[in-house]
Amino acid sequence: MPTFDLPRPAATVEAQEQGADPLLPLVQRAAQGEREALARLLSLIAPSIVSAVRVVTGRDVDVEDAAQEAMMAIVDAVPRFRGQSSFLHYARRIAVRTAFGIRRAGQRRSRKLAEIEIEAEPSDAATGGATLQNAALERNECLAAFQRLLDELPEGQAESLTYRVLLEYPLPVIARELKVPVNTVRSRIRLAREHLRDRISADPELAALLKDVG
Amino acid sequence: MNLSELHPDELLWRESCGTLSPNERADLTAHLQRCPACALERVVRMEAARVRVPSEADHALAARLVDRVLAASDRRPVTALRGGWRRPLSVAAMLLLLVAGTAIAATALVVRVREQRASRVIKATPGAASARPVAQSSKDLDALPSEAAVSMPPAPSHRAVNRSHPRPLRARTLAFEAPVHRTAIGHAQEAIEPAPRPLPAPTPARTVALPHAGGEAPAAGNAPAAAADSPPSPAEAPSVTADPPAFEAPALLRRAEQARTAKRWTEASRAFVELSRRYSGTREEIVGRALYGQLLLDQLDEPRRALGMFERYLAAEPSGALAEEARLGRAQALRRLGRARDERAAWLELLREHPGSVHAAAAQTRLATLDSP
Repeated sequence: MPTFDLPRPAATVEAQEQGADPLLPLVQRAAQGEREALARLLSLIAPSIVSAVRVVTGRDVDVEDAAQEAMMAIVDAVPRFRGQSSFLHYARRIAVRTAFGIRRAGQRRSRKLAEIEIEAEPSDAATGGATLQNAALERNECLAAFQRLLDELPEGQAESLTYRVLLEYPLPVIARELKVPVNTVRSRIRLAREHLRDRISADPELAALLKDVG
Repeated sequence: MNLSELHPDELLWRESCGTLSPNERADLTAHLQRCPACALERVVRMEAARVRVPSEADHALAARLVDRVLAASDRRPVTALRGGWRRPLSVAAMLLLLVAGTAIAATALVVRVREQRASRVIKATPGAASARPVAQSSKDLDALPSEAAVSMPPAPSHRAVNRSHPRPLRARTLAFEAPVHRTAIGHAQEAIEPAPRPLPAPTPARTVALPHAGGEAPAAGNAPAAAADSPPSPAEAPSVTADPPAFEAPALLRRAEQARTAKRWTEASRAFVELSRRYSGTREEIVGRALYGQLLLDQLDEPRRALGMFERYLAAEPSGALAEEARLGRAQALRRLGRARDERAAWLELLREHPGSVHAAAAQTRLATLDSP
């Protein structure tokens, strides 16, 4: 069984876009209504979709629900696939957008709650700082903080930074995903970093956590 | 100097790719010391790269999701058609509505013209005064505001009867037969048959159709699951018990999965057993074998029964979506049972059938252990 879960999405994307998409025959058969092909296709991409959803949603969202919604969206989108990128890339994009939408929707629904959590989080970190002896836990804490900070950004900036940092996509690929010029992506990422820098500077707990990890 | 222009995106990128030169690394380190955003980003990149690699749990979750999504997809029309027929069908429904509306309007116009002609004739005759009260009573009956409505008795009477009766049974029956079609067909049906229909009395078929319509809603949302969770009412129970319809199998599998996800092991186990007992041989039941096997092995500490489940799944679907997980589970169950020779064969089969499996390394390690003297 071929592996579609490379740890470096950038490499995956580039390699698959240069060569023929190994999933294409399955996609075509699935689009024609072959159940077995659809099952096989989903089986091949599902682990990658789950991990992409996990990295985008973080722990504030139920990964299983989000991944299921993403998979349903992918199934619906199979007949619309035009082969402009690899299918895995196409599916991952749908998954990222679904996960992103779920995360944002959750934020909108409970913004006040989220604010409370953001305020509460440093105190947890403060009390737990001494107990967080595992560096992996601290890195995970950083990831969660980063995901929360993404929620504060305008959507375009957050999406660009998500693709760049969480999924490690090359800039031209992000530009194509978001249908904007590469320089716009650069600009969005730069602005997003500015916001992050200001936010971290204003949050001594987060800065301390970062110092511990660094 | 503006720090914002110095975020070394390229250096961060190349660091994650492992292609930094010593000088570039020194530059990056210097920048990270004064830029907390990039420092955070660097940590997050590393952590995200770790999280992105699918774990065993991700694979198990993925397998469950695939089956769930396929089961939900099975209850809808074939994928290829789904994108293609919706628009034509909705256009057809709209056209039907348009045609029906035009026909009604034309009929009303004809009636109105005829009535105007008749009223002219009546006015020309000595008994003209009696015509007006008839039209007025029609207006009172239907409470239609326009004068056109007042002067077309047949059409308003249809509407009045239609309003007094809810959706006819046929629409509900169509929903039972093809849930995804039901809206468009229901509208089309109403457009085709605006005439009043008597409200039918509840029938046994309807008691079966109702839970199905709830359980068959597309997209496998939570609402249908909740409906599946609720016990059937006494009125519905006999028909379901007497002849269990196949459409309940997905709901039962969903219930089992929900219970399993919620760590209600006993409830999940009961649902899997019920699925096996009532819907043996259905796709859901076959999928349930592998899932129940995992539950038995991982949570209920029953490797022998788990082994049976995995083997039954593999016998039915040796290349199924859960075949890899089932082979893994079988090997693990055999290990727990102390059947080393069978376990070795199971690991070898896993490697042979799924050479790219994420469990391949574990299988190799275990085989090496088994082969060591």
